[in-house]
Amino acid sequence: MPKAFCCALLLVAVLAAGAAAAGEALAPATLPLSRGRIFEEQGGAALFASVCAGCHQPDASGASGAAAYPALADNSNVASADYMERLLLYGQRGMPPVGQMMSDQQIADVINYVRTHFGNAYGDTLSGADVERARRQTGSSP
Amino acid sequence: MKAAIAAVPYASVVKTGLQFRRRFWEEDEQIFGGISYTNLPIRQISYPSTGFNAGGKGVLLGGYTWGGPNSYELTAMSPADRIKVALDCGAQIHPQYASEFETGISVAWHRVPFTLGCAGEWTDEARRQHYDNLCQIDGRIVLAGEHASYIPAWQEGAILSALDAITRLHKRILASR
Repeated sequence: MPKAFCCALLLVAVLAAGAAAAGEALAPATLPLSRGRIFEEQGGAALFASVCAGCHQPDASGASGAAAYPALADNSNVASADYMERLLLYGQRGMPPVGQMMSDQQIADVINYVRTHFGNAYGDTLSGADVERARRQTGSSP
Repeated sequence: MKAAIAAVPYASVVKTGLQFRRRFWEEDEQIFGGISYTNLPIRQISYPSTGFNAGGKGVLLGGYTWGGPNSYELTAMSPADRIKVALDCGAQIHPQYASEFETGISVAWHRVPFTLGCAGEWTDEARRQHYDNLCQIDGRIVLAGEHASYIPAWQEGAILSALDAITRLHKRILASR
């Protein structure tokens, strides 16, 4: 076992040299990568950029193909925070239940972010406690 | 059937292909086909099962991320950034990546226009509630595909579902004569 550990260290050293030589090709990516089963991004803006934007687009304008990802910009459906909370916890149609990989606070943060950006300006906010209550009532654990 | 359609989300999956100047995994490390499973965002590296010892260039499946936070994070990146991630991760296992890489391609299934997702993602609860309804003939509509099978994501599921749908349709037409 100690021998294997030694080899691993050596490999890391070789790697560091390799990475430096390759320069730009091995530069870190622009978005973070979580290490576990829960998103590590914190705050609405970071969560939106790493999760929602993949389909709904960075400017929340949506996209279309065989069907369509709705725009979140200027979308009257986001008037209901409860509706968004439900989508995140359970998914709907093509959308997976991404909220199952978020804490209560992360769900609240990303919903509040969308509802106050991209042309949306709703005054009421969702708290982590609200999400916790919804999860408890419906039996959806993180 | 409408409720059943709305109840099955699609799995998030990302694959990245990497082309190298030479098949270093064969030449240097005697790896012929198979998969390296990792705990990195790429999840696995899959080696080609054909063209052994042919020399010249080779292409690896440099990443195959199914579900979990990383699949969404990679989907949100540009294809070029996904390739950078695949190189960065893969070089931790094969240092030859740095000198042998030529070009790459990356696909995130949620960004594929004709599917908008990789495969139907069922839960046991969704199966109980919706599967039978999804597989009914509803008016003029009958669905077939991996999503209407017990082997989601696989061609086998899609083929079994197609055979099942056609068989039921045929029976129904004969019965209505």
